[in-house]
Amino acid sequence: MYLNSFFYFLIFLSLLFIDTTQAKISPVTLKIEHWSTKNGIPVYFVPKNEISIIDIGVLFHAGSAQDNTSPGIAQFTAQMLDQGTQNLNADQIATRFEAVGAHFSANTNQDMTVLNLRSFSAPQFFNPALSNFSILLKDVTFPELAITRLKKQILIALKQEAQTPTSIASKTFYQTLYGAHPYASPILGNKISIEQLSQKKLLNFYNQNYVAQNAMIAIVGNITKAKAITIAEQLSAMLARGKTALSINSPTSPHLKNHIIKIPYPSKQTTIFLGQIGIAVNDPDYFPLIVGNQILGGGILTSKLFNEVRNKRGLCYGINSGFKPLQAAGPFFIVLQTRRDQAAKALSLTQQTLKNFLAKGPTTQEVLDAKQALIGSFPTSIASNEDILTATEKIGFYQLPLDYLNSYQQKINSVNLEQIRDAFKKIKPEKMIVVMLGKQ
Amino acid sequence: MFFKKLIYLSLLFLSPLCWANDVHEYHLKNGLTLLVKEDHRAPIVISEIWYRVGSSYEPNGITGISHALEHMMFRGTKKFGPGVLEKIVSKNGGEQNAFTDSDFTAYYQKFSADKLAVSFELEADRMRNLLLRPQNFLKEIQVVMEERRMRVDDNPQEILLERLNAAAFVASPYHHPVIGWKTDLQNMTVEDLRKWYETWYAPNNAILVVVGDVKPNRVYQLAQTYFSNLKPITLPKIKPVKDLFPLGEKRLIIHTPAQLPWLVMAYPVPVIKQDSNNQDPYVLHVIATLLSGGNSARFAKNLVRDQQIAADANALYNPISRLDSLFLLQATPTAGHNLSELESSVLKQIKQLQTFSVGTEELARAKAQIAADKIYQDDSITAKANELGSLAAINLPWQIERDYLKHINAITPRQVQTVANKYLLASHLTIAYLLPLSINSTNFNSLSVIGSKHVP
Repeated sequence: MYLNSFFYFLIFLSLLFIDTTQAKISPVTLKIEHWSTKNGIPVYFVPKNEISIIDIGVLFHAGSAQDNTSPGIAQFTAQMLDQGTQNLNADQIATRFEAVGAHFSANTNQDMTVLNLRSFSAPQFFNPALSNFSILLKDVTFPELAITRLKKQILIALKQEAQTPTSIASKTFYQTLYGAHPYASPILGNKISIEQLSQKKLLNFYNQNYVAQNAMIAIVGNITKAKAITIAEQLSAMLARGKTALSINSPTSPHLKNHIIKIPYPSKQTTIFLGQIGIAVNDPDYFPLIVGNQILGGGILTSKLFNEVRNKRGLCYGINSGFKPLQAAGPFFIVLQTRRDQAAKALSLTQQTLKNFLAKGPTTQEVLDAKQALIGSFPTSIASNEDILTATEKIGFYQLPLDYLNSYQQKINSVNLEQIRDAFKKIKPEKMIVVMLGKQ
Repeated sequence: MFFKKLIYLSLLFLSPLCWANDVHEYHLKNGLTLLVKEDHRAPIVISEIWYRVGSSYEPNGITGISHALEHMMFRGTKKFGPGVLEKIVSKNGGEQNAFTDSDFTAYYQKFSADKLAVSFELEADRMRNLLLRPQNFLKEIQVVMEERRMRVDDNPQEILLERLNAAAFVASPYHHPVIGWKTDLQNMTVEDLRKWYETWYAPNNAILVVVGDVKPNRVYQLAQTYFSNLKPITLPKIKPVKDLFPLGEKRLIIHTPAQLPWLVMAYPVPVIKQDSNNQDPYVLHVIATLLSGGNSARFAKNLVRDQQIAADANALYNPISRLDSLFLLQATPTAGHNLSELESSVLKQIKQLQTFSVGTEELARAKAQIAADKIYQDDSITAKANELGSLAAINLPWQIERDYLKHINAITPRQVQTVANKYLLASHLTIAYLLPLSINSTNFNSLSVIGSKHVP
């Protein structure tokens, strides 16, 4: 019984803690070292010596927003990098990475292409992996046969998307929301644009975008700063100086009132996307919106949308709202799936929950709870080397302040209720794009 | 070549290093097992509680009940009513969720290391004091059925996998899906759940796994504080299961709305067993890696790049499983090739393994990849906790993970050939073809605006 009272005491303490008006902060200190290579590439470095791994990211402003008249070319270029260089074919490139247990990946989103290398830090593994990696920055030849093959594979990936309800709905959502803006363009491209890609176009894209002025480097792991400087110079030396990619214009909201797009699809559930244009990474309202969204639909298991649509009525498995901050304004969206005969009900409940949130705003207690959740969970989001790499890449790419991570919790903590209400004025429930995919 | 050998030898040397910091194992008097592993890289902790119950424990009629109960575990206890658990964890900066599989049901919280007591308090409470209110169940079972529609019914490849399992496993309970058959979900009652909860949720059927910035002895004390007054129960005696011996290949055709055909082939295979010196599961892991462990593996090299008959092709095998399992081959044909051509090409790759000895360099590369995958997992406390929990949940010692690479590194080309000939037999195969029915809809590359209206 003694044990039991101890038990209550602890919980009492922790509840007491929470109910004060300021969130408690266990500060995060993560020192990011920053310098530039001789030909001007910004480098961001975090030493992590506890495990014998090195992670490297080389990022280019070469996302699908740079596709222009060739939708899908940014992604296609990235996927071609390990398919052939002046001296090596795809088999040899893969073998060289895998013989030393190295992982190479290339990923493209709207803003960027990210090349990542993960390797053991011991020189006998790391050196061959790094040398294989650096070749891909300069010597890629885009062999015709590999282009033909990758085209077939991308066409199949497009079909895969076309049998995945959320992918179809999400593509339609982006296309409608962004209209003529580059973010409208699907990252994989489309059948016609892929078929029209040529070696010449790919080489042009590569030579124009994979350049020093368009790049940044992030390094995390078990090495000294001196060694990191050498690595960055080795990678940097592979890249021509080149020019910075054109910046991405701010999108303009479509001139539409509530606009519903219905897509017939033989599914059991109706997939619903609704939203509007949201914010860019550097938006001054970023922190109030993040805290507010945690309350509305960001907090897993605790948000208003989760409670109203899922917990109280059992209308869906997952529902969440979110901002996707990008270089230019990314979308604000709510997504859910529900049995088709209750789709209208679920949509209207979702819209009503959003309207209530916007009209009444959150309560002081809700704001405090949300801040506590975001501040408390922050250390877990930058604990592994992989997490640290991702965070460092984001800071470097979007030129966020070097102390971004160290001041993150303080910035969340300083958000107040009025700031949230003001920031959410930009969300207009009467001006949303709604995509409904399912049997009509 | 000497240089390459040197590399692999040192890889071997690397592997035990990350386990130098061992797992601490404790047993409470009430039967609760506690596994603790220190990781002081960040001031955080993951706390998981694993129950030895999952869909493979379920009899006909109540399939999916382990998973449905997992959902209800978030609907409150006497002390912490509905919504309170979520709020407490969230306010404490915690991330939490749960997962159910054939052999286990597991719950976790991840947060600052100083919050570990919050996790223990909540989990100890909901181990025995769940409310299971009928009104909550009526809503939650709807949520589960929505989950089934999303995961399976509206996903052509999942439809195939569900039916392939049902055909490949006859007497084994892996026959039915983790999420359960639709009819069983429709007829499930809160009384069924209560019975299931009372049968399986007890300290002597649970494993607590803690990984992070903690001191093992302190965790043990804390576990005693919160869990030691829970009483053990008499657990059902698990009956032995043995699936039927295959007497010839089985074929399935799945017609469902889809865009892409798909091929899946399954061989019944053994898994790692305690007190068994059988190395075959380790060899099967190496075989899966030789076939599709990366871009230099045989499927990518031969089927995708050379023959261009597959857009993708994978071999999948998990040696950690309570009952005998499947070695799966999955592939998507490229345009202009049908499933039967693809099937022959995939089978030729198997035949190669059976006929010719694998080269030492290729074998060494596969081993290096397995070593890298294991060692890179050290970066994630979640991955480490899951490794420990999934072993303990099926009564395997955590030392299997620690010694894993030793077994892998000892494998010879002859073993690879022998094991390929022993299990990858045409007469044991279950083969499924997904033949798409037309989605008969719009061209999704262009936007289709069917209706547009104002919503009040």
